[in-house]
Amino acid sequence: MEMNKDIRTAAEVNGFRAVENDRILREAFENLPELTVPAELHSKVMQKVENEAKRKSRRVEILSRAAVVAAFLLLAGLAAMVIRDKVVPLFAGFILDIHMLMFCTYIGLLALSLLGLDYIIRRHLSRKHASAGPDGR
Amino acid sequence: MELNTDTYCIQKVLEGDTGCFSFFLDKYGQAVYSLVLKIVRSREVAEELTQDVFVKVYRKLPSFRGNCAFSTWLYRIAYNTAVSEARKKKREVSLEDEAVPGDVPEEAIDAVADGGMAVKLEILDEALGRLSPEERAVIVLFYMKEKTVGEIAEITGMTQANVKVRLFRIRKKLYAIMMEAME
Repeated sequence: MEMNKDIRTAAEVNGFRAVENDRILREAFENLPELTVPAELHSKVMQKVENEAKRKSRRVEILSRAAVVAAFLLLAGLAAMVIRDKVVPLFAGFILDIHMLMFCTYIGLLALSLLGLDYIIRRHLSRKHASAGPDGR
Repeated sequence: MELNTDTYCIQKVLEGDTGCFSFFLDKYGQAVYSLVLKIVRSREVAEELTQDVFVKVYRKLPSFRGNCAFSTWLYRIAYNTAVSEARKKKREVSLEDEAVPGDVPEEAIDAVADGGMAVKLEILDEALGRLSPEERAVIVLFYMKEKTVGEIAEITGMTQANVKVRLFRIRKKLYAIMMEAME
């Protein structure tokens, strides 16, 4: 019982000591002189922040341009793949068969020249009829 | 709506109004500078680092989630910047690795307490210089910036129990160094 009392007293004394020691340090720290911020610090930081903001917006601009270019390349690549895989095979037979191509070209040119000849003859005849007059003389 | 709140200014800065950032400089510039100065103990380096801290804050602002107070987040950046710089610059002989001072005689503390304020400040400043950067940061945050143990734990990334133990040991160490200086 007596011992407990002694321990309690000792603890109280120690507790008081701890608070007291803490107070001494607190007081000393409160009185430590605080150096003021250099006057130009504010403007220097704001300058750096402005530069950083400019860099950031430039970065965003570059990134958005890069995204557009990447999207374009992707679409162009896809289009090339689609043309190669889906469209080219449709004409593969014609393109590869040179004789057939030449025959088709010959027929096409023949048809066009006959069409042209027909057009010229018709025009010539219509002019002739027009100059002969209504009675045909 | 309160115009000059941290949240409002954060929002404005994130929207691109960089001018609003000067609000943080006005509000926290002095506190950050004095904390950094106490850690690195060089005016030129402290000025450079304070600039770095605010630029980092600007860069990292989009990642600020608001889980803690803005000031705590800002102090965390300042603490990390200053401590890593101090570690880089100086390989200090940490007193932590030496024998931790045992019981500091009460007479020594009384002697420190009885000394005049000017003497006490001089000795305290010298004692602070002999602590490691982390220890200086913890003690300055506690006594000068009047941060709670919880806030110091958030700033330094330690647990609250660890902060309490460290504070106890640093206090002991400070008294030991101060006593040594008085002899």
